[in-house]
Amino acid sequence: MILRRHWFVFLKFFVVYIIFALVPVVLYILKKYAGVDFFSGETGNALTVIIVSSYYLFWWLLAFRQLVDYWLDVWVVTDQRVVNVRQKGLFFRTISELKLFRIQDITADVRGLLPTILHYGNVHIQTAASRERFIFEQIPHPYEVTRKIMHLVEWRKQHLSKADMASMGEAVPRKTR
Amino acid sequence: MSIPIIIFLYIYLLAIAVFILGSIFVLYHIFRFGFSRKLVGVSSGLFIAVSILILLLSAYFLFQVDWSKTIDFDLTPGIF
Repeated sequence: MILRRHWFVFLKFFVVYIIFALVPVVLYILKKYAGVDFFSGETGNALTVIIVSSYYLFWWLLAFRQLVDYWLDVWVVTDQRVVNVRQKGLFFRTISELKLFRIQDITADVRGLLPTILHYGNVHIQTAASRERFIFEQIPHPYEVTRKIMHLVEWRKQHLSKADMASMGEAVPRKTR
Repeated sequence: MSIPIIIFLYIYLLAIAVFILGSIFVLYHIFRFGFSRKLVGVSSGLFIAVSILILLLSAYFLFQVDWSKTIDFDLTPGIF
């Protein structure tokens, strides 16, 4: 199971970027129809092209970087472990792994009007440690995800390997004749 | 005092160089850490295509400019 943040989270950034993309258009309309005169003449036109081109190039780069940041935040749940991959900016990436049999508590929460309507929220995963280990942030259908992980945890605990039991500090049952 | 407008072209070329450097970093990240090869290819292709489009449009307008011109500034204060 591969999980990412809900598409609405990215949509919020998308709307902001669309607004910023319209800024040169608004300024052009002001210049043409409202009689505001700036950067006129051939030199002014050249400067306008340079400024608008630079503006859109960097706008496009930042929008793509935001998409990459959203896309590379992912949580992977397998039948053995949970993997947390977080991309925080371009040069900061963390990958954490947690074996299923170590999970002791899973909590899902959905807070707010839009998350409730759109069915997205957080899933908190707790081990025996005092500090909370993983948080799946703003994922779709957190209650279903919680149920699925719980089923996997129960299944995994029933099929623990000897190595896993040894790492838990439990005695590995000996074969008796 | 007069400033040749070609200076603004040099500043613009410098901005393009910074943009290309930033693009390389972003594309490196998505190619290295992206999960779905197909989506990585499509999104990267779209990014490069739009970037090239912006640059080509800008080049089309900027080639029509006479870069030998200057901007004149009058720094002497007016006599009251």
